[in-house]
Amino acid sequence: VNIRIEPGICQGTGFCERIAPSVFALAGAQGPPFVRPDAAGDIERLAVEAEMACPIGAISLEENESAPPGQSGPWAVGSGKERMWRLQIGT
Amino acid sequence: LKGWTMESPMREIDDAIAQMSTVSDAPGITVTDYEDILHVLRSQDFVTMIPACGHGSQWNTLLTGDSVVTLAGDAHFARRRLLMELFKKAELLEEYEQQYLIPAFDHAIADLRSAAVCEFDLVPFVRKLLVRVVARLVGLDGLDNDHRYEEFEATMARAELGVRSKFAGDAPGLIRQALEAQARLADEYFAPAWDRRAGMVDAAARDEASDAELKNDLITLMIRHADHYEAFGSDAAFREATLLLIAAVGSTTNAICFAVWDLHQWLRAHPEDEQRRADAEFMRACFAESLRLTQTNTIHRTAMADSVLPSGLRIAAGEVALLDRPAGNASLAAAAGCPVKHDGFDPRRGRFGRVPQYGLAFGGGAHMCLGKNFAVGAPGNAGQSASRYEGVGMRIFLAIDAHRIAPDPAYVPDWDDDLPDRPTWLTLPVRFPQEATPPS
Repeated sequence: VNIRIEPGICQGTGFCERIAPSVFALAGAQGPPFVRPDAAGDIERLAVEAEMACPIGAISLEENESAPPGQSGPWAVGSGKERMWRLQIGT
Repeated sequence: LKGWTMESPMREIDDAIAQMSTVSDAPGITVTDYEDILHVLRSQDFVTMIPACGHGSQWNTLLTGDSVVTLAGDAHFARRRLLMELFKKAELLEEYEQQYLIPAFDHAIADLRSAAVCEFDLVPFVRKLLVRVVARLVGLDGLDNDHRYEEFEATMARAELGVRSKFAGDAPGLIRQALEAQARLADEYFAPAWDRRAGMVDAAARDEASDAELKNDLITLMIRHADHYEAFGSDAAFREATLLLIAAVGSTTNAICFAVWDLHQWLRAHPEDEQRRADAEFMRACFAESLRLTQTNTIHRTAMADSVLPSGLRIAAGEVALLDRPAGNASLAAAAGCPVKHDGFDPRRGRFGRVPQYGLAFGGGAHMCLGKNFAVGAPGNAGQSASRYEGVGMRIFLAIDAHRIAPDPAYVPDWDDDLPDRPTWLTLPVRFPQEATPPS
């Protein structure tokens, strides 16, 4: 399972950070959000809660991409407004 | 929470109405740029409304105060987090469509066929379908009985006029009627449903029933989180239910009627798109495009601090920002290099960059419409398999078109298409070709 964040559509409500501060953080007062490099806790449960709470739909859980070889933390895909953050949970 | 009876006697409500009618409108600053609008919607320096902010919004606090649309800050976050389960959980959204909406639609079509009806009014048809689904969401029982439904619908319509009264001239009169209707809804519909569910929650607490046996609906949710709602007074839960009921039925009915109308106006001018009605992506674009044009009423936000918007526009603390959605959508189209006239229906238009085609239809920021997924599904979710949800609004729009139900070509609506705000459909005569046999 992957957490996927789309900063390009995020509107900076900060709900994800409030629900799961051990997993998500905002870069500045209104975002964009990112997955913490040291994400901890019951990440999948917290990510599901954050996905439900996000009013915009900027967070989703997907099953379609594995982490790059050797990648243990979150990684970015794309750049600028197209950039997305991903974090693989489990296998 | 001790039942649903309105806490305030009517004379106190009359006093409150009289007092509010003396409140003059606060100064308002119209905001027309998309980025400025989004900034206001995102900012914690702007709140949804305060009772004395003017512009008519104070009327609604009597009917829907302390509901999820009026709360701000931590209270709003806590409320929204509670309610999300009903509006974003995939299995529930699927259930609303598969177990309630689709059977109700098929039943309604079968009734039309058996009675050989070739013409009918789409507005009550859609409202009845939506009430069936929303009754499940809220937790109201017995509305599949036609007689009980008709009474409920008439009462709810009066409450609905009050919630919309900020747009009307006789707001105090409408509000009073609405409060009386709301009290009747409380006594006759909510109270029995509340008592039944409270009994089930008590049984679960005594281990005489399992949590799995509890209903997953709004009333049960409010009973289970009574501490949260009691903090806002014993009527707060009822005002929340009123808001969700009216918003989910009234707004969605209007959106569907406009989508049907817009589609057929488009097809008259663009007959080459006739075949694309079988293309779900085209139909989703039609629905989104119609939503963008329909959900245009001004959003009010009160500034709690002096603010400078991205364009340089200044709004002082205490002033009201009037967020002009049509203008915001127009600036969005211009910024995206959209070559098409901004205010016309054009399903070929596509997304505005990363912004969905419906633009500001659902607002934005922390107060983005709670029912967005309920109405239009989730991005990338729809259509992947028969069991996934489209969104109730979109599903009804698709089903109507699949049965080739279309506006009566002889009907001319009595509203002015050039008005900035689209009106509420009171009637939409449609034709129903009995011979059409769409796929299941």
